[in-house]
Amino acid sequence: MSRAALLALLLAATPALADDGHGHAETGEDHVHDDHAHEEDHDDHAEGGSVSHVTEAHGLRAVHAWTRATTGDAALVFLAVENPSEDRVVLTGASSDLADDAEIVGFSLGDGTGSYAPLAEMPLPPGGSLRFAPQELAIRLTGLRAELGEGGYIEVTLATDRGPIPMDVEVGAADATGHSHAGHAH
Amino acid sequence: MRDIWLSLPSGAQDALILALFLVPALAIGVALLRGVAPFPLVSAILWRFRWANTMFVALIAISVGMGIGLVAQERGLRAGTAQAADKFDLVVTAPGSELTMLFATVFLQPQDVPLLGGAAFERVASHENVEIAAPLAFGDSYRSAPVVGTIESFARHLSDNRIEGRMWRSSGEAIAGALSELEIGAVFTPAHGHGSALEEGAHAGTEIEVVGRMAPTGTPWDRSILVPVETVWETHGLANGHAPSDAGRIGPPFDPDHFPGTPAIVVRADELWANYALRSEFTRDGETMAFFPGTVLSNLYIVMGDVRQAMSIMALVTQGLVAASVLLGLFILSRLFRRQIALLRALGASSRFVLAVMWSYGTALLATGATLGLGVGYAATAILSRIVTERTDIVVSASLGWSEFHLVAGFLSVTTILSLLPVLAQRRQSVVGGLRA
Amino acid sequence: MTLDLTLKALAVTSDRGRRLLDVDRLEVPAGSLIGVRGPSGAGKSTLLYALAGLLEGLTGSVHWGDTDLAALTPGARAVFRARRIGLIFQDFLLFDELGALGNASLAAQFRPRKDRTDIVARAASHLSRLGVPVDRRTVATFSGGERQRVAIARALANDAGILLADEPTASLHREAADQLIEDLVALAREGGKTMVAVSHDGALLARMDRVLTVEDGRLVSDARAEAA
Repeated sequence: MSRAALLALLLAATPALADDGHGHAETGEDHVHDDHAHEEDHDDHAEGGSVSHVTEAHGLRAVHAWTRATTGDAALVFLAVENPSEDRVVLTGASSDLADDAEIVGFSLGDGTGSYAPLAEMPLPPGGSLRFAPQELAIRLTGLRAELGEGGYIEVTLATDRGPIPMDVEVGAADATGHSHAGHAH
Repeated sequence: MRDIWLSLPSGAQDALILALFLVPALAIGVALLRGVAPFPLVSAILWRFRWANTMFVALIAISVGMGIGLVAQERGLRAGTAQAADKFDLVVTAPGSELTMLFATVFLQPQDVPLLGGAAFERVASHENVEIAAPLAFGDSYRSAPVVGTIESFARHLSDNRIEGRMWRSSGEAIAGALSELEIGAVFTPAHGHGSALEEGAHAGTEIEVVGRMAPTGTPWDRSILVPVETVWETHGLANGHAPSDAGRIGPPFDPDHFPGTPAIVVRADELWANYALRSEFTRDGETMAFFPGTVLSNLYIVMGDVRQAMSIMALVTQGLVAASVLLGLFILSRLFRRQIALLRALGASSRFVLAVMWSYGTALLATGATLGLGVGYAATAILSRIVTERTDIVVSASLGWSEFHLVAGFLSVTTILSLLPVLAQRRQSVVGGLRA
Repeated sequence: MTLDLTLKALAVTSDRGRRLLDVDRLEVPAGSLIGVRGPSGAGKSTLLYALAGLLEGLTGSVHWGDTDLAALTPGARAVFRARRIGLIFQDFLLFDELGALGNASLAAQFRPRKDRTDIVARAASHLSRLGVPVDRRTVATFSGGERQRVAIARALANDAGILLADEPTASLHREAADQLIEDLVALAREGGKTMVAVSHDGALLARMDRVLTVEDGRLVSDARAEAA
């Protein structure tokens, strides 16, 4: 019983973590977009043009790309990639006009500090999907040339062995933990 | 400039930051003490007000120690729990709470969890990128130590293959954790369940012999007893994972049709990237859930960090209050010392010398308190760590890191600058008035 | 080296505007021993502090040699005191936590490094001349006479030409006071110092070259001391 003291304390402090919407398993939350036609592009009409929460190209879908507002020179981009096609596809990297460098990175906890290490490629099997999420998998932008302001969008291109997939990445709050439509089943 | 900075090893960066924090204090010291030698007087004052000084130093040490202990303890907890999760790259369970499953698997906290069936296990175990797919069958215990059914490769992975004695060769043999009370050769009967839900005698008749011991891992698994998963199933009167034609087999492959179920599968991938692919692949609505213990812990740390932040602010406020009271004390003492100060001025000492005396005195208190604070913080962390380790079997070690030294240096620099104020405030007082006081 | 003293039109006013001291003219040749007497509150100490450059807002001039203390900044006056003036107080004003030598050589802590050895050496030799034991004891355990001797050694340690003493014997019993007067006068004479001593003590005043009487802030008499 006393063995659990520390862990119980942590557990008590973190009720929300137990089910914070990992994956698309929990879709029960209510929101105003329920009647969107998700097969079509589902757009937020921002000033001067439209941005998309879903990109389809080369038979791949990139969904709900988001990042956090920052004044620093690095940012992590998260999203979900789906491969509804019959063939394996390999994600080979990323690029952005806003950043000197972009790469796919994977999280490892190490001694408790946690760090992201570059991954050269990420294969995606036919019918598979891949979730880029905080403390797991991300696209890391380094050498940012502009501050990322909350509510804005930046363009990041995902590189694959089938060709580039341009994405509009939503900039959330500096402490955001998910896309503004997280849990929204596309 | 920035590139040079980034090119430095992190130790050098930390050392430079520390130096930077100390620069203001050192600069003041050099400016005030240049060409004067007020140490006999400073030690005279330290001695005259020795009880008050001791109180000041103790207050500073405790308040600084609190701040330090908090930071060091959090880092120790992080490192300890991260180390405990290190062997668990990816865990596959039935859908549910990742946190619950993390505690059940990595930290061996008893939980009621649903089972994964043979098909689900087969899908994980047969995946091309999966190197180890180890079932973890927990729920039984022996004298409060968890008895966990698994496979040989996981036992080897967990202990880095440091096993004294030998590996099990058949059902009914066990490998004990380093802290287990069972020696090699001991025979025991597991009980069903844990703690208050314990059912002694449920497994009467089952006898398991310990044939090996794992080296210490610094995790709750040190207390556990590992058995072949087949043993757990057989003890519960279930199929043992193998077709009757293959009944004597221990370990994979398992026959999905004779697989009774496992609460968790620990997965080790053959490639780093494959972990992330497997995580997405094994997360299937209503069937399985895959998670990285490292990610769940890391999310916990963020919350823990927020709590620490809040407590750090309280510790900082305490430090601020203590610093303020010490400065007030200095102010009062410099009033008590007014006559002596006036005397120094009358004898021809410069006002810089008077400032140097009082500053050296204040800084001696602050520096002593801050340094002792490091010790207090370390001691507090060491004691807390020992308690945590005893209660959870997660080895949490106490250590002081750069951030603690930075904290102390920052505290010292700020307060040592502020300690000039009480003296400066009285600088314009008349010497004759002071002599007559 | 000692210095002549010349006061001209010296006036000291209190914060509240009351005239504390008014001296038209006073000349003291170098090497003289001057006593100052008068009723309490008459301005004797004010005169002494003016001579030491410890007062703000005085008018007129206080010349020691070519230096007019009245025209100097407080910092410059402190430097002048450190180098030229030795001060002795009624209640000694020693640091109780320091020993005899530590007190006598106090100036070594704030004077330039090159002077420190000399200061300590002079402090030690004056202490020994005055018969004060230099050991590990702090002055807290000393008798009044011993304490005032330490104060004298301190006043002499910077080899100042000017000694200013404020009631140096008032805290001592008769025997100790007489002994102290002997030593003080002898040291001042030997060193050719200019000494100004404020005192009620007839035995001290009797050993001075001149005795000034201050009443109500004015010099009312400037008499050669009668032979005792």
